[in-house]
Amino acid sequence: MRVDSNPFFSRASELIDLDDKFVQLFSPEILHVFKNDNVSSIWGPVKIFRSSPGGGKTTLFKIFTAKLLSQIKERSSHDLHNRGIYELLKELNAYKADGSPSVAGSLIPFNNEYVSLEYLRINDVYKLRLFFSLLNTRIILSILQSISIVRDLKFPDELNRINIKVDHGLLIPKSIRTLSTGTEFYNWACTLEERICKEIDSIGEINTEFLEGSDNLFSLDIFAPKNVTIDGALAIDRVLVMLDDVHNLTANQRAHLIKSIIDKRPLVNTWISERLKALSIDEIFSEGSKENRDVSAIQLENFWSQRYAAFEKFAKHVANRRIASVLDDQVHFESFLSTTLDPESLRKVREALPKVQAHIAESHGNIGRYKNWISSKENAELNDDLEKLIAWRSLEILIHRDKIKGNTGQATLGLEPLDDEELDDQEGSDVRNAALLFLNNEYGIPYYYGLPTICRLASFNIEQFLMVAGELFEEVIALSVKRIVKKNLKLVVPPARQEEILRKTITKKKYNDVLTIPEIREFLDSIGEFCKSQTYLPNAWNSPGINGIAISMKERTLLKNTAIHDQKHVYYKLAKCLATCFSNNLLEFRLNYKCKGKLLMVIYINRIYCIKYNLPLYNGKFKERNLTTLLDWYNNGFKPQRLQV
Amino acid sequence: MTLRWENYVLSRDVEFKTFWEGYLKGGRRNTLYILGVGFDPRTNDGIKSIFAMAAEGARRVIGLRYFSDKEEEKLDQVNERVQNNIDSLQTYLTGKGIEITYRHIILQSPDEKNIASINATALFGLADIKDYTDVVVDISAMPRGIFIPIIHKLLNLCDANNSQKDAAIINLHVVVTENPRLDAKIQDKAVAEEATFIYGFSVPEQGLKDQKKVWIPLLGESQTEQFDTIRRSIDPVETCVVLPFPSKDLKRGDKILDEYKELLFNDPDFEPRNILYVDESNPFQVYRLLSQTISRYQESFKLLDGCKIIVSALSSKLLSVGAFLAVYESKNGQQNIGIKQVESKGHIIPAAAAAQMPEVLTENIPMHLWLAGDPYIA
Repeated sequence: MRVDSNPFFSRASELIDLDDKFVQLFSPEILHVFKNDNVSSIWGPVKIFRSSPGGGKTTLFKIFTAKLLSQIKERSSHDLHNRGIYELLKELNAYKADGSPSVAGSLIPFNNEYVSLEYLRINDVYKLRLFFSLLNTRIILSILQSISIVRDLKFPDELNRINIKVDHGLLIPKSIRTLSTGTEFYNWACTLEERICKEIDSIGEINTEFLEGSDNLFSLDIFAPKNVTIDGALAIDRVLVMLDDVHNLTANQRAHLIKSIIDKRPLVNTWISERLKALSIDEIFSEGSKENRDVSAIQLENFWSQRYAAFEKFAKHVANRRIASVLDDQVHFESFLSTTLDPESLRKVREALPKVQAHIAESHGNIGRYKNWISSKENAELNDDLEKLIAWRSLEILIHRDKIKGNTGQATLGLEPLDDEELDDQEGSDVRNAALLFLNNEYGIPYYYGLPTICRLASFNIEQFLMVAGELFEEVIALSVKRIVKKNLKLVVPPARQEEILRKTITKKKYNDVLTIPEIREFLDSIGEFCKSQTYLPNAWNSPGINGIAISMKERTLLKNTAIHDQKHVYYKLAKCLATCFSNNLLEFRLNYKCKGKLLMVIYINRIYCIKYNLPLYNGKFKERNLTTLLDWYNNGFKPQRLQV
Repeated sequence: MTLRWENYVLSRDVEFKTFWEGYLKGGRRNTLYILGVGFDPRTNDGIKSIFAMAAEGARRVIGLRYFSDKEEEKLDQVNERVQNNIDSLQTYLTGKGIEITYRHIILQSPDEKNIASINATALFGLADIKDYTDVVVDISAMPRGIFIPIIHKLLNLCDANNSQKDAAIINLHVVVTENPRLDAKIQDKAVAEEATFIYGFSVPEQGLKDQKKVWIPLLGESQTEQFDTIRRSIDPVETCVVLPFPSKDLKRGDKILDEYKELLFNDPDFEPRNILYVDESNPFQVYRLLSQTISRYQESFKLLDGCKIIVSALSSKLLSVGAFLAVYESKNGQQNIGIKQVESKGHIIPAAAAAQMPEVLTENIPMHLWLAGDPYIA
């Protein structure tokens, strides 16, 4: 095998211009986002998709575009991958019974072009009018093209076969009330679009006199399927307008756009995608939910976080599709990631084992209560040194736990010896996991390796997964070059090297940009260090460890409704800092988590930063802390205290 | 293909001094000097060197101050380096009896959108320059997102004025103190998340004109993040990178390519045969080569309904001016072309580098480009 390029570092799938390659890399698992809905609700109210960058919003939208729906159907007859996607889309009613697309999907990307409108030196009313006029022209052009693709019309030559019955009750500009054919709409939109584009990039005076009053998205009503015919028959079952990357608009434009859409209850299906950072601070603390019968919101990371197994399957599928794009043989990404320790790590294990055993013997060997436990480990028939080491380190944790139960070490001296069964009962996978994490921290035994770990490091964000996987695949490429001269070299990355690469990844600029703001960095460090201090207690009482904190929902309401709106409020800066961390994906949160009769807002560290603080990656435990403590961390940083254990 | 700057006026180093001495002795010259006042240690070099020469005529200075947002402007707290430059400039000009006024540029909107270039475009009008024979724009301490729109606007104003019958000619000069070693030491504090077109150089999506995009980035050191952000926003079918060669460090081009290799060699839009090499000290050569490249791409893509060309300057200011000239001329020729960039959210000189500053500054080379006015009027 010789690989010249790293498929994980080729551009994000939604940016890949070639439709073939896009479909080749598309993983249908993401369509499960719709699986929870009943099918009719997909085509119901306005949907808002939110995620951090790289969550998969654009990829999801792109698959519903007319061109791809038609292409997937065509290829489904002879290509298994396309057939799989086709079947899933058909379940979502994206195809009719005869297999033809039932949806004319139009993707409207928002780029920074619209932003300049807001800062032109013209009247505010005209700024908004320019914005809606430009957007309306683009939606009209895109829908006309989508209908042409789905109905196999030559675009734009055969647009005259499309007839649009304009409802005169709608608020629409005068100049289009008299239009009826697709060609007329096309010409109207092209002319207006060109005129607007020229004006808004002009360095001289801006002329707005040509604009007609259209401060709403009338284009979402004109193309109601019942109004659109081709040669006299209804043209299409559904029209879908996907407004992508709305976060690129200014806050004012975004607010007007979303209000305009929600208020009008559009007659075509309308989906919106935006990054979390587009939300106002108030919305961030509310998970952006404005759900009602007219709008439903899906936050992609939250969706996956409730379905870890499905995300892992999705990520593996994406990785394997990427590998398949550069290799002729069908090789799974997992096969490059060894889970067998390399000789150097094994040496560390062999060196650590007697040390751990000696430490237990020295500290607890003379306590009768633990005699059975210790001898059970001595007599255990384990061939694998690592297993032995984990077992001994787990024992040490459990002895610490037992001592605390007895309040002090001395108190346990006179108690009855514990039997083996109790040891077995207490030595669960969480304790073993904590033991391995402790061993990583104490002796450098690898902990962060293997595909499941990488999937967890992604924090439910597929781009983050690709970045991490790409770093590991670089090593595979390097090995493939070395193998030219070392024929017996295996193309596998050992666990220790995987961990080394992952630790290096977190130092990359990409993950540290927001952290250049000192208060953000120090606050994240405080949470990380606090979690670390709680994780590495000798009794590991939070095994396998904690990677989150929580505040009460009452305190969250205080931040959301009061503190964030008052610059003089004692928690104002803390609320702002938390919002920045959420919108930049440093922290994630879950609302209304029930715990010990309380409702909590749980705040987790993005898993990729967990490596930095040597924390576990599992959907971890958390500790509740009040706002006063968090404010102290914000102002002074976390100061470890001697914990009473 | 006719090039406006086929024949050009460029002076550097010793020639810089010779040119200005001769030019200012040649008659009465009313000069408007526009400079950015920032943290850059080269901020005042150009003005001190030109205004030290004896000349007849009025002299006025407009200093540009940058503020990340309105809040910062209100507080008007500047760091020590900026304050030192302001004080030094003020002392110098007071000694000469020359008036200076400041104009402010807000770089970001309240929702953190980059508005530097749109604000810079609005900064000057004909009224500001009509009484002067010479307008000198010193870009030594101006970021690209500011000097490109300013030169663009002034060039338009000068051309409009100079094309009028009987109008007094206004000459437009660009001055920059080049120092590649210093440039390499200055680091971005952070960069914007999004790539944006410089105002006046947008390439509109224009609905359904399914034109492919060609990207021409001029590569420089430590700009890989910006490179990645711009490329993601463009999604080009073809990436034609520009590298400096010849250059003072002959291996500079290779080193830059090595820095960008991960980003270049994993995608099919980059083809090593398409690399353009330009003289790092001659912006007019960049202009000429880019103009030819743009023209060739437009020709090749004619069969595919044309293409959109986007240029990004990730290199020195000098090369950025060359790129600007090529795009300016092509855009005036109705080509679908623009300039896209990622704004920096501020710069720093790390403490270690600051210690070496006196030695590094000895490598400063003054450069002068004459863009409009007498030499170009037939």
